[in-house]
Amino acid sequence: MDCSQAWNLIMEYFDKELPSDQEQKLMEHLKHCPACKGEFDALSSAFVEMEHMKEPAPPYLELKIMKRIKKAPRKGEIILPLVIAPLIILLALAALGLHVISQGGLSDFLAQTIRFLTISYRTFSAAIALLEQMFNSFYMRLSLTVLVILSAIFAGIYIVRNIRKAKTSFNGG
Amino acid sequence: MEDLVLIRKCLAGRSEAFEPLIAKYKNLVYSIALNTLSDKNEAADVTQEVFLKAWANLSKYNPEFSFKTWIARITVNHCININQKNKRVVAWDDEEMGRVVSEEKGPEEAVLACEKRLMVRKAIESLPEMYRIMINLYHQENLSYEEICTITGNPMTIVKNRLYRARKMLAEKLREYTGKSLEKEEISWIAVKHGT
Repeated sequence: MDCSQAWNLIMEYFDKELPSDQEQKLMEHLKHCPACKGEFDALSSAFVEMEHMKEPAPPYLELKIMKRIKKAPRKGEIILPLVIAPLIILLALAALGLHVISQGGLSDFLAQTIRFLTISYRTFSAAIALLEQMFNSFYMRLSLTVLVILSAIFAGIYIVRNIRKAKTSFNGG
Repeated sequence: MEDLVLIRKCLAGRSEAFEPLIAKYKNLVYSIALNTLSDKNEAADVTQEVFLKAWANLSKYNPEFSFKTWIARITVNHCININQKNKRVVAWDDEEMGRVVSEEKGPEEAVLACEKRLMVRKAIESLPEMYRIMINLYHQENLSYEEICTITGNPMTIVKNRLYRARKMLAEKLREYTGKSLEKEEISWIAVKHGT
């Protein structure tokens, strides 16, 4: 057996794929070849040494990672409800606006927008008036105002918190 | 519990199911990072970043492959990117290595063991990055050829070829270092003999 053949067997030996009869042949070669024996011994002891060089991860890591994970939602969790839904509404409104402009020009678009806003306001006022009539009370108006203010505050807090979370998630910390 | 069950729970919004996955694979991630970057603080940071990356991209995980190889792949790519960004040659802290060994053995044995460990470490570090990663994944992390193929994204022939070359280079480096240390011993012996 020459040294290049021996080297191939050494490779198979370290792959743990060397049959026992081939291993005997290799050991026989190593007995008479100091160069191959030197390389074989050096690699064997290096691989044993590598096992000892393994170090465990610091124990604090687990908690630290979990803490950061709880702050950082997965991709898509924030993007879908906060960005995509308003984007779709905006795009639909823009498309509608462009359609109206292309049909009747800018003045027609403005007139239609004002009409739409007026109708919306009137509808809203009518709904409120109906509710007022239904409950016929000052407390109803007050509770509705409080409800609107509280909703606005909660919506603001929710948006700010999610923007912060998104920043943490994308900055990796 | 099986990894896939835990991953499904995570995807259903239960973040606590990710904790057993961290506990199971943190040593693997840290070890790969430490061997590729040779800096304990940086390896700890990378371990955190890798798990956060895995968490953020969990919906992209392909259950055809094991979570172990998926997270190892993220780690290897992340470390390669860091090394490329910093354009640095890694170097293990000699003092740190000495401290680690002396904690395990007596003073004389510790010196010898430290020298040997340093020699092995230096020989591994002198290998080109891709060969060094192959040696570490196979001989230190005890991963199979198939797993290394998935992690590195290389076909079996390339992985086998690189590991073959890596071992050859490592053997040459070790022979070179052993030769140098023998030469040093010889010189100091002659110096002692002649009283210089």
